[in-house]
Amino acid sequence: MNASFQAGIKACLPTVLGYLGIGFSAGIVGRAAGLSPLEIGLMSLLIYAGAAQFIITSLLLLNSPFSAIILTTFIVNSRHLLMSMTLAPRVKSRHHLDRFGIGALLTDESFAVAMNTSLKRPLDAPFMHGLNITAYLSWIASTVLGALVGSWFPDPERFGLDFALTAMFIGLLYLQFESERSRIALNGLLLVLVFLLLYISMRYLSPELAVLFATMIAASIGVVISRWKSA
Amino acid sequence: MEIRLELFVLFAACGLVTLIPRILPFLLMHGLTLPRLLTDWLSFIPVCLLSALFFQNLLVAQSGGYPTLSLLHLTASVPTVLVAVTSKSLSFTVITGVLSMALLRIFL
Repeated sequence: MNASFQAGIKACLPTVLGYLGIGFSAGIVGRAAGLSPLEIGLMSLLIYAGAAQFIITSLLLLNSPFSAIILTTFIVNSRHLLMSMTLAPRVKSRHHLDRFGIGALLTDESFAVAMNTSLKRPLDAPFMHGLNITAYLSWIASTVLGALVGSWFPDPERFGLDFALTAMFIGLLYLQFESERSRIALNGLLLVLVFLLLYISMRYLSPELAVLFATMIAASIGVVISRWKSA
Repeated sequence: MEIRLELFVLFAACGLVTLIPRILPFLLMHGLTLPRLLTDWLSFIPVCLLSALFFQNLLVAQSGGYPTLSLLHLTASVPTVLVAVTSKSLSFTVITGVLSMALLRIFL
C-alpha cells in the first residue's frame, strides 16, 4: 500500500471515534424516525454529512415537502464551499478524477485534519484518499450499526453520544490554534468575535446561515487586522 | 428490508446539492495563482469556521429573539477543553466530552 495513503488512514484514526459516536446516534435517530437500516446506509452513502442527516431525518418525521428538505440540505452544507476553497489550492494533484474524489468526500473533520497536516507535509492525492475513505467507511458503518442495534439504546443522548461532535470541534479547534502559534493573539480575538457575531446573527438567521455569516465576517476582520499590524 | 423509491430520489437530490459546493473549488481552483487578499482571507477560515461550529453547539436558537446559552453543553465543554489542551489528542478529547456529558445527564 502506498505510504501516503497509509499516512492518510493514520491521520484519520483520531477522528474515527467521533464519527462512530455521531454516526451511531444518527442511525438510532433514523431508525426511530421509521427509516430502515438500508435507507440509513443509503443516506450516508449519498449525502455523507452528519448535521444535514440529522436535519433531514427530523424533517422527514415532520412530513416536510421534499423541496424544503433539499433546500435546507443545501443551506446546511453550503459551508463546504468555504472549506473546499481553502483546501483546494493546497492539494497537489492535477488529475480531475482525484480532485473530484477529494472534494466529494470533504467533511468538517477531514478539512481540519488536512489543514493541520498541510503545515507538516504536502497534501498529495493518496494522503487525501486515505484520510477521506477511512472517514467515509467509518461514517457509513457507524450509521448502519446504530440503525441495526438502535432499539437497544432508545435514548443515545443519555450516553453523551450527541456531544461527540461538539467535543471533536473543540479538539480540532485547539489543534488549529496550536499549529498557528505565530498569530495566537489574533486568533483568540477572532474566536471572541465569532461568538459575538454568531450570537447576534442567530437572532435573524437560521443557525447554519449564522455560522457562515460569522465565519466570513470574522475572517475579513482577520485580514484587516493582520494587514493593519504589518503596515 | 427495503428502500422506498421516493426516499432514494430525495437522498440522491440532497446528495447532489451537497456535492456541488464540495467539488466546485477543487475542479476550478488549480493551476492558477490566487490573489494575495483571497489567500489571506482563506487562511482565517479554519479557525473562524471551527469556532463558529463549536459555539453553534453551545447556543440554542430562540424564535424571534437572541439565542440562549446551554449551560449543560457549556459545563461539559470545560473538562473537554482542559483535556484537549493537556493531551493534544483528539481521541482523548472526544472520549472526555462524551463521558462528561453522560455523567452530567446522570447527575442533573
